[in-house]
Amino acid sequence: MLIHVVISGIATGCIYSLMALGLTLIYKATEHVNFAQGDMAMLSGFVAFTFFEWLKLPLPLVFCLTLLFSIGLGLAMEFLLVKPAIRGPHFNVFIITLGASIVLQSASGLIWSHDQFPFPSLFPDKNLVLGPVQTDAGSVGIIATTLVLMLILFLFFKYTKVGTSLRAVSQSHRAALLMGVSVRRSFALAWAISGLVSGIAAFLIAPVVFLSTQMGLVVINGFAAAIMGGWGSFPGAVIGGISLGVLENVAPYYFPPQIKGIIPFAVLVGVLVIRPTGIMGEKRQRRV
Amino acid sequence: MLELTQVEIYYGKVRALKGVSLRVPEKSIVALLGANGAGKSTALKSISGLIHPASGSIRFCGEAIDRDSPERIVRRGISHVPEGRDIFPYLTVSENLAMGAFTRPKSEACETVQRVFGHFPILHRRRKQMAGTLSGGEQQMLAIGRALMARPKLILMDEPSLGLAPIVVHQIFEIILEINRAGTTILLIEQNAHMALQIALHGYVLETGKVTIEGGATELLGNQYVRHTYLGMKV
Repeated sequence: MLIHVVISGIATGCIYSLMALGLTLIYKATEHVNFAQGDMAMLSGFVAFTFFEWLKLPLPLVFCLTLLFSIGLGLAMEFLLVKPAIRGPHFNVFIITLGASIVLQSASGLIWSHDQFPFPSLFPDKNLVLGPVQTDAGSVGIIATTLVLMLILFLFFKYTKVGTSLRAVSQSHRAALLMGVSVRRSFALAWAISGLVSGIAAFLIAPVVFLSTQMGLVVINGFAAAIMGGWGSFPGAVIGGISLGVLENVAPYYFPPQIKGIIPFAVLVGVLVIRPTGIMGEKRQRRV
Repeated sequence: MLELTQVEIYYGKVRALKGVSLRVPEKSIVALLGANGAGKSTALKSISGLIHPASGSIRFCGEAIDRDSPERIVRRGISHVPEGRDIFPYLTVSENLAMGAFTRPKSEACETVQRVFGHFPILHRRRKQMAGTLSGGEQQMLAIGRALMARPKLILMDEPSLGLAPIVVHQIFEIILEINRAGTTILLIEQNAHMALQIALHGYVLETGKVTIEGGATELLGNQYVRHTYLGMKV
């Protein structure tokens, strides 16, 4: 029984990891903080819902079309909201994305209402028995999808020229420019990838929590995960997200269920007291 | 090959370059000397497109480049070894070099990387290490190697000797000469005027944004003012 709780905790954690990963992607490349990450996922969710429920398209096609939309959404956010403020302080961009988050929420409410909608799962609704472990296909599907996505991202960043150039941009804008890397295009690419990640997150979250305009609030857990893991660290985002998800699911197993919302943040504070930079965080090096 | 004419640059309202003109002939080494804040780095940044001049022109191989983006300028064949080296600390040595060849197809880059390792055998031994773990001298070699990866016609070098032990400075200057002999033109910024004038053909002295003295390297080495101010010799 406990193992099942842990597995569904890992699945929840994977969702937080994806949020944290989206935040980290943008932060690493551009040093901007995107508060609208969760609402980008929410909007993608509603777009998928529209394709599926209103236009009756088959689910795999819906998945592909929605991901295209998510990438476009990331690019549009970068072009319309971030680029005009690029010379301003980073705090301005944070407030702009906070505003965007509210606008996306209200606008989605206007179009699709603030009700909750059931969302089709990509995975079959049945129990899986793996040796002594019993779990549900949904959790395993979420974990597997997240792992595959992370592997793809890892290979992209580690072994392709463009991926490496994104890492280079995150380390020095000036040096990257001098190598002939277009920093502007890199910013757009970081937003596009982040949009893609938010789109995939939408397909994983919505079946679990129902689709609603409130779904974007998951970004708060994404922030908690990213900070707990070490702000700006990719492995940190993953580890932080999964620990948070497991804690949140295991705590009610031993304590009253109301504890669910408290434990992760209590632990976050605890981690930061012991390790102010987070689990995988490192001190930012400043050049003299 | 490179020609700056009356280049003026402002940082906000501060005029950092007040009408600088200089010429770098093909296959030569030209030294740009001057104290801190004289505008040497600013001049290099304007050539590589990091900043754009308010007036004046910069021509490379006969074409105006003063409105080009840094990306275009790299593709034109100008590489810039920036001040303070500015390598990518969390990329490996190989990845740093690969970034140097960002504008070129992968097949050509493989061949160039062998040549760079020929100039700097130590980089080959350290190729899988994070660049941030290299010593100062090795980082400077990496910065130069990375610039060579673009197979430039002209290399701009901003204080390659800064903060390095004298023996390492000698090594670096040997390599700069080697690169020059292989046919690459070099514009070199140095505070170490003595070293710079030994390898350079021609020199310019920049003071508070203006060229105050220019001439052949031997001429400058003999100039009383230069000897006193930049070579620290009693007149």
